[in-house]
Amino acid sequence: MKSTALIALAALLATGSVAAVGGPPGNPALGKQRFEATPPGGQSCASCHLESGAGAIDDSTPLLAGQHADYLAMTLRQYRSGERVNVLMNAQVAPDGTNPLTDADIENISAYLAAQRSTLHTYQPPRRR
Amino acid sequence: MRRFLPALCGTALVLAMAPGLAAGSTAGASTGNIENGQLLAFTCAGCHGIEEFRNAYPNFRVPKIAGQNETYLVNALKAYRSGDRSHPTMVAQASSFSEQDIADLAAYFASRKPQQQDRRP
Repeated sequence: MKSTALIALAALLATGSVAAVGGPPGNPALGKQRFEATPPGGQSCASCHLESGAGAIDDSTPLLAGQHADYLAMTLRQYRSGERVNVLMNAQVAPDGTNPLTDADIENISAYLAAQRSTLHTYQPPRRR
Repeated sequence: MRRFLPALCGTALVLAMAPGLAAGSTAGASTGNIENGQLLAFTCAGCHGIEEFRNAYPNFRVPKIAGQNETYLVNALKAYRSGDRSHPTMVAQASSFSEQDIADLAAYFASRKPQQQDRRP
């Protein structure tokens, strides 16, 4: 009896820790669909971040293709909660926004974008001569 | 102390003049000075210059910033400086940046294209 409770507790903790580091890995195919989907009365992610997130409608909009999935997911959660402020992003992805995102949406979109090619890359300082 | 003071004043004078020097030499359409940006970027490389480098608490990989759009980078650094974005290390770094420093850093990182680092002699 005691061991059953312990196993249940261990399972709960294990699930919790997975969620704490960004949830289950996303599904890129579903992420692509969600990224391109236009909700009624709203705009798709791709309408500003362009196809596969590899472009942007203007220079103040970030390139997303090739960015780390966990960074993207954290950013989307912060936009959703309002912890990170950007008028356009908050108004869209918040629960009462025009393009609200579920936890699964966030993981799927992040997995999709991280797998795309772009000019974005890890900074490598030039070698000293 | 007497010998130390003039040296100190000299250093302060040079530091005070530095932003003016940087602002004087702008390159291209952008107001950022790419060469000065490269000098300022020395500290950034400690986290942003390491593949898969991880931030702790919360745990995530620090974002790729080379090749990112310039205006986005300017806005990000200004948001850290004002405290609108809350990452402690970035807030600490950005708190000392002038407008020109931010423009220079953004211009430099935006200018870094993948081929620049792949095609080394």
